[in-house]
Amino acid sequence: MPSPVHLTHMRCTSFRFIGVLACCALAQEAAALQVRLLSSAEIIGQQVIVGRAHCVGATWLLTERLDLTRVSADSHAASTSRLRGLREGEKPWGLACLSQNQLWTLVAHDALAQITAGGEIVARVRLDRPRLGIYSAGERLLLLQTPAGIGRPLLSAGLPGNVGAFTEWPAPISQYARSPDQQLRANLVSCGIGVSGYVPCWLANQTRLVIGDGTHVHTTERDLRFLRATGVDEAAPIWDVALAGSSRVWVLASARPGPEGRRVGGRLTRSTRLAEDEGFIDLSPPARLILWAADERCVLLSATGQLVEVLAP
Amino acid sequence: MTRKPITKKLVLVAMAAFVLSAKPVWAQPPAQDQCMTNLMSCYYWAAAQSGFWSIWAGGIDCELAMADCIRRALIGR
Repeated sequence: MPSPVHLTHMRCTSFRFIGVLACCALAQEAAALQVRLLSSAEIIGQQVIVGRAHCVGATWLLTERLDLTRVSADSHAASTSRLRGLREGEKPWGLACLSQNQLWTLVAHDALAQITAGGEIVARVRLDRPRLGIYSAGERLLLLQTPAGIGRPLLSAGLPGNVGAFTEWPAPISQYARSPDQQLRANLVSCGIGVSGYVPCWLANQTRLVIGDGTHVHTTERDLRFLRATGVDEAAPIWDVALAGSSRVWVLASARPGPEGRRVGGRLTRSTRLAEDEGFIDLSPPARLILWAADERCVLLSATGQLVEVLAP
Repeated sequence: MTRKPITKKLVLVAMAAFVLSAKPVWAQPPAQDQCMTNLMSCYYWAAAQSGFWSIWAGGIDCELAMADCIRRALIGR
């Protein structure tokens, strides 16, 4: 007959074994996303992408080398035009898409420019103060401003034809930092692909995701705890986000930069607006950004320049 | 004469190793340290301008250039 001590030890071992099995089963359940290659052609080169905008039926990418690429959501075909009409010293940053495929970029800190589908700059708007980023929120542009004080909204929204009437976007709000460069890093906001006027935005160095439509009532802020996994780059944990439907949130977590130094998205998590982890997949090759998303699928641009689709079970 | 196939194999292995080790050439966003170095150089340039307003405007330009450098380094994709 076994001694009580031996029995206790056996029970403990059994419980541990069952616990490990349960964890494995849960992990398998969580990692049930599947990945497949959508297009083997390289749709974009290795130049830095400075802007991404999602319009009806297509996603647009703008690169540092001034290539404007349209990727069709239906055919997955890509077409590229050269950005034309820039003035001396202008260096575009960001891309936003309003209705009827109206594209806008920041050509300087104090100037917006409208771009045609063929890459021609056709209109300019002078801004009232320096802006650091541009995104779209339904029919409105979202502009990122330099932080003024602590706890102040960093984004404002409005129509390009009336920059004087831009209104503050409730969150994210400005953070305290000691030096000017730290202040910039701590207050750099990125926004992902929105839906029905709701936009996901986050401070580049934080794991908190804000989803809102510009009103306080419809703004939620959640800490994405699943980003605290090993391998996620703490300097910029959220790499990209896309909303789909009324509840789905696809989150691309950044991987630590490799020897080549460029940050990429290493893990894609299918989540909800309550920040629940409903499954993830570690991407190999990693992804540069999300192109578009639906409830059950998310299409990404891989680091090798191809289209990759992640499917939920 | 028996060494010839071995040499051929070695060359093939070396070529395969070279191809496998090759990585895509990425256009690099600037490193964050580089942004600060650029800022310091820019401040020296601004300080050398003549007149208060030129120095002041030059300083603002330097900070905006740093902002551009940091956003490319941190969130450039």
